[in-house]
Amino acid sequence: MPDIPRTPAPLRLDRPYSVEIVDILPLFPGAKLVTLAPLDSVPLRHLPGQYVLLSQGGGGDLPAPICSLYEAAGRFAVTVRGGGVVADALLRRRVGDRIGAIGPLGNSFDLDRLAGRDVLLMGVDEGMIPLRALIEALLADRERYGRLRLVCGARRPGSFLFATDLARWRERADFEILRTVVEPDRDWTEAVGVATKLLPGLDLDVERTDVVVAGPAVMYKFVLLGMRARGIGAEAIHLALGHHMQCGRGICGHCRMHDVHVCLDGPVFAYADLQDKPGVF
Amino acid sequence: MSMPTILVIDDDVDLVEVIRVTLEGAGYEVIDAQNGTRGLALARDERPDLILLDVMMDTIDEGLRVAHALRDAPETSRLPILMMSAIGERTGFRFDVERDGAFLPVEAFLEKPIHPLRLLDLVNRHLGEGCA
Repeated sequence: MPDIPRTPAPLRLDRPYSVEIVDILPLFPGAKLVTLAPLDSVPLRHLPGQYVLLSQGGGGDLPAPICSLYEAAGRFAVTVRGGGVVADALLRRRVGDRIGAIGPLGNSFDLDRLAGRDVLLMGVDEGMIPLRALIEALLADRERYGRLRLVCGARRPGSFLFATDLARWRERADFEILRTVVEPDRDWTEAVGVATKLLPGLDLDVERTDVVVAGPAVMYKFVLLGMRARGIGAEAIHLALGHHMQCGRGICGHCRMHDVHVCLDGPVFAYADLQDKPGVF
Repeated sequence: MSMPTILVIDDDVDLVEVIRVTLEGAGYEVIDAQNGTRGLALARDERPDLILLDVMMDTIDEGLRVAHALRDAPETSRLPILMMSAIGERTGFRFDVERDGAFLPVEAFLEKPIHPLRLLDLVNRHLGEGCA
């Protein structure tokens, strides 16, 4: 049994600590997988779905989903995508540089809920960032779960995040991966179009399937409609909404949706808890 | 000169009749289908000039599936589609053609109820000068 923490992690919430950049893996232009190690060697004991706040000396903090499994040695990985002051500054950092971190923060995917269930993962574009840790957790304890599938979408064949991981996962017989792109090239032989187009063709055991959704904001309502059409209950749909976060501390209000703050109440939600809140999607 | 043909795909027969009277009064020819399967067949066989498409029919998302299927078929991929639905009121979801991009492959999304004259105006605009 792998050493995956299944209980809430001891929080390092309000105690900033220093981490050293120990590895940088370019994913594609403007996105890097950055591996960090706490200088005090105290592991985060994070759970899939949680995030950390990263700071690099001015400009504020960056809420970054942790996209690696818990390691006893304390290392953890985040994906940094450019486009903001802090993110752009972090992308210029090198191996050996030190930055600040707070966390792990937020709730996590409920692995106990998923135990014994078929799990359909919907990950589109940056949605693959929070899903990566979840997928690794599911695969590390594979016999605990039923049929495991990933519908993975990107704009172009070359713009899938974690292409190396996708290739590694596809070698497994116990993990099905369906890929689709909106703008195929002449060599593309898999599905074409947005990821929700694949939903009607999926053979789902409605009674035993849980769905995990992570993607761009516009995608959620279309997945939810597709799931409702298939008869998947709201309690079996889990939404990663971390992409709404900005300050990650409940201060800026950027991620406020109806009466919830994604950063304080999430970033993972059961759709059953949001479905009666108008205007969320 | 033949009149432009509008295909209405909607399972609300009363609404279809209102639309028919409005559009035929303006000189359009109207054909209709009450589900997505029949609508796709008519679109392929009759080659209408524009499609008015409901969303919630046999399933809550049927119109969305139909829109994607129309875009995927070479013979219908360029047909203008005006989507009309009460799905926003029913679900609380907000739809916006610009923001939703490829997930909502239609020219316009109209929340029901829609005044017939507004619908006529939109049809006219999407077909150029109209045929009245």
